[in-house]
Amino acid sequence: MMEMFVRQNQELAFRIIEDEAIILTPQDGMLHNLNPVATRIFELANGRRRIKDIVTSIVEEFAVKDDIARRDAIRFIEDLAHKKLLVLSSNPAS
Amino acid sequence: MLLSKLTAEKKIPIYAFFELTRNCNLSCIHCYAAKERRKELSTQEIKEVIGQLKKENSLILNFSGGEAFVREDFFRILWYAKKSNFAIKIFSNGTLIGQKEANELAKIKPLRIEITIFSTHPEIHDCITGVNGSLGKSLRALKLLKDKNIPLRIKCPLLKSNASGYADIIGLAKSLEAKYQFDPKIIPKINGEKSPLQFQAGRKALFQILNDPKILENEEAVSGHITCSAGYNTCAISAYGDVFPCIILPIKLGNLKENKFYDIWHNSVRLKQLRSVKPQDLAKCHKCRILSFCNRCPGSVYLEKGNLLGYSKSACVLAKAKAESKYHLYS
Repeated sequence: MMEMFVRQNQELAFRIIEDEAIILTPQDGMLHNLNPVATRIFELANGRRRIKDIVTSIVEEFAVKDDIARRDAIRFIEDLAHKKLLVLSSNPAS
Repeated sequence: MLLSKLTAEKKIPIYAFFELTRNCNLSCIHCYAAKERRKELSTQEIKEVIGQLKKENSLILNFSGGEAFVREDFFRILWYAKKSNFAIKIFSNGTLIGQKEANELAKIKPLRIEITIFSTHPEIHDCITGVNGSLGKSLRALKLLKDKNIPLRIKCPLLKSNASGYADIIGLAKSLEAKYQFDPKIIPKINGEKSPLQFQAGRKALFQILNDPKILENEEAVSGHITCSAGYNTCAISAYGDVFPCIILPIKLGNLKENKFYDIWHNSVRLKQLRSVKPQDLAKCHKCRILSFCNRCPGSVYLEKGNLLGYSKSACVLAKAKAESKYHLYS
């Protein structure tokens, strides 16, 4: 999984207000409010970064232990992908 | 914290209402819009405004007219807004939406399209719109959009001539799996001309509607607000680039051909005055015994009375009908 590329779902409407993402999914009209760590993961998900790259950035930026960051980051990415806010792919975005 | 509360406190214009044109292919008898001789915003000017709104963290962009689909560049504007990560809503009469337009809208995936239907009877609907055949075209649009799974709402202003047909509108909405909204609030034209008020449904008709169990099926909490979000987290931009707190609150805050949205939104003296109004400043309304049934609209008050602090006759009519029935009108 760590080798997979991750990008934002292109259908989303979103804004980042004071380090927290407010995301609206048009298909169901649901609003999602992300905490600062999840927001940073969402920002980093440009389709050209692998999950392992994003984890490395989170460890550096939030000064947390590598194993905790790794576990939390993967959990966030899985959750955001489940909610269709992020899309995982084995290939980078063009 | 709720998005609306958070954004209102921080003065983030999360809801932007963008009137793209005053031109319309219908001539509804009660319409509040008034055409002016000024030039409407160009495609490029509209794109620039959308960019400025994005910078201010606006998220939900509601396009309307007139009739937005009369603009030949409407889909270019929609795609630009989509690519700027806005959630898009469209208010339309639907008459210009055919198969090609429905296909394109399905790709854009708007949050919702709201189509106005006055009656399921063409002799009533078309009489209000002033155009024969308009009901058939609007119904065709609803069907095409439903087939594309686009979220829909049927909007129905309640006038003297159509109020008795409200149950048919509910039936139509249910058959299309669409939401519906009855609007009893008929307002003067935004140039102050009061002729539309003569068409508003009366208290007796509203009372009958509010007492119908079909309305009760869709009951929500009764609103008790006597101020609103206009100018806090809601803004409106006219086809001429004027910025207002709301499209029916014609207190001009500035013009986007002359100033940036940021400067208008943060520095307008008129907007600061509007934001300083507190519920207790509305002396008559603040002490009203049926306040909890009132949806007082500052725009209606301003257009009816010429000030922001008075009461709205049309809101009073509705609040009395609500208080008598304890039901209200939104699905």
